[in-house]
Amino acid sequence: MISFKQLQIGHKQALASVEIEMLKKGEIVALIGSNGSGKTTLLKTIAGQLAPINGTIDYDGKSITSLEKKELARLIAFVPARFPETDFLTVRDFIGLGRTPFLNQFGTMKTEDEEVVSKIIDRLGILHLADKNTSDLSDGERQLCSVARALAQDTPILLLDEPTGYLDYKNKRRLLSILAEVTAELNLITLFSTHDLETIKSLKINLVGVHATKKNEGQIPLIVPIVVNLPLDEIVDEFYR
Amino acid sequence: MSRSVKFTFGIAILVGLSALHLFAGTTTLAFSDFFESLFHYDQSSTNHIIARDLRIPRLIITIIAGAGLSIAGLLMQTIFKNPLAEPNILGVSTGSSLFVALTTLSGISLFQNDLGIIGSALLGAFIFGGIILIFTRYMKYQGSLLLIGIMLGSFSASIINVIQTYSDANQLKSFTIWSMGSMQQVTFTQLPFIIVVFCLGFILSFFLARPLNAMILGDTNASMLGINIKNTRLVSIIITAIFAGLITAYCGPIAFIGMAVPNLVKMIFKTNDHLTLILGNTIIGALFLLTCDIIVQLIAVHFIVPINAITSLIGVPFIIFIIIKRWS
Repeated sequence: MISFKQLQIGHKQALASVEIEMLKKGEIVALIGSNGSGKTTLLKTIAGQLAPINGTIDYDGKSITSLEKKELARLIAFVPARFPETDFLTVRDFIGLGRTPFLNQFGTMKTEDEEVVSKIIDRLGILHLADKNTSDLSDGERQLCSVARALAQDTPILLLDEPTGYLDYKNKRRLLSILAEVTAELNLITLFSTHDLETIKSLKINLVGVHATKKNEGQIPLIVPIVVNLPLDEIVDEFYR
Repeated sequence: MSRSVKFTFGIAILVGLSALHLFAGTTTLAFSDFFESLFHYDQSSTNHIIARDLRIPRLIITIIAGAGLSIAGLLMQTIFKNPLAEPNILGVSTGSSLFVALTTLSGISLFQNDLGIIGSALLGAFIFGGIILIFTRYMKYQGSLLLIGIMLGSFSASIINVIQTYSDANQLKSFTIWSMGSMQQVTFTQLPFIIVVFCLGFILSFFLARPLNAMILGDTNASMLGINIKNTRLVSIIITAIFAGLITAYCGPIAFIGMAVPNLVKMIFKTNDHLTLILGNTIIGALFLLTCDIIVQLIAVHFIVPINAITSLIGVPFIIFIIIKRWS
């Protein structure tokens, strides 16, 4: 379980205040809000890429913010919005890079690392892509591979920054369904930012959002849980400026 | 063709070219001359002198220079995420050249020896490597680092020009010959030092394989995989400075190898695994410079051509090909 205590996020100045109490194991949560409202900032703060302005983030009662990079790499896998452009990198090798925290200094994979990679390739149904170069993949295939790399990292927390950003409707549904399934199967905590409200609603994924109007005393927006059955129009009114 | 077959093939060619390199030259030597010169050296034998004091040091420094500059180029290309990065263009080798110019052209007798030149070449490489490292903190777009490197190169060239105008004819001649690049400036007695320093950088580079593999995904991804980006950059710059300083001191500034070979190796091995790439650059880098030096020796019968002219003649078209392929 991830719990937030009086957490304020931002770059130097507070951008938003996190009013979510916790994210539970086995739960997938979508994070919505206007462009620039603080979605990526929240993900990067949980991932340890940015220091909180105030407050703490705990995982199972232990502070995440004080962890070393090596410890964080075994706790959190992060999928950024942009796919890295690289020549001469096969999908299998790309997913294998997710095993980096477990490898020796020379980066050589052991049999068990290769087995983990093969299992994930099978689980996500991307065996036909395994020997392809990542530069030859479509956007949908790239996102699946990014998720596979994050899963290869074998962490209890999975954070994704706009994973559906470049995908068509069918690929969006496919990717989010897979994410929901593996979150339940592996008992992960999955948090991802998105603007695809219809897809999220149709897949019954829980929502949290950066509130566009509701502000606290310090006049910064609040990040709050969204009531499950709130109609789409009201969500848009409340969470998009 | 599998990776191990490619390596075996490369090593076999390396052995063949090394033999060709040893026997290339105007004086014909037998295999026994090399063997005898190493184990039963006879100072009165011209063949022994040519074998031990000229051919063997030339072969070893050519292999080391080709391998070292290629590995340095690979490290620079990965940490700065730019296929055109290399010690020369980023100013690390330029720093060596500047400091060698300062010592050889200064006329101060304290610096007019091997140790003075090597020390100044290493110091120059470390200082200019450090400057590039400082700039990485402030540059969001890594391509702009190449521009900084080019500026550093122009800056150094200007200082060298100023120093040259105040130098006497002999100093100027020796510096000009050095700056053309040559594989024939190393003596047999200098080899142990060169080999030890090269092995230090070579072994150290293998410990960067894992962080460099992750860094091809970008700094954020690598950092989330537990990689310390700053340390990886620092150690990469140190290794580059060791190679660039060592090779510049003994061979002069050698152009284009550091840029061309790492790209060629990636095309041959079709991988981004740095363990493979470091080994590949060692073999292909040595092959590339051996080939260039054999050409230099073969045409030396008719006219003397500096090694830099050959590396550029082969390297430039390949670099243009890389640029067109990547950015067209």
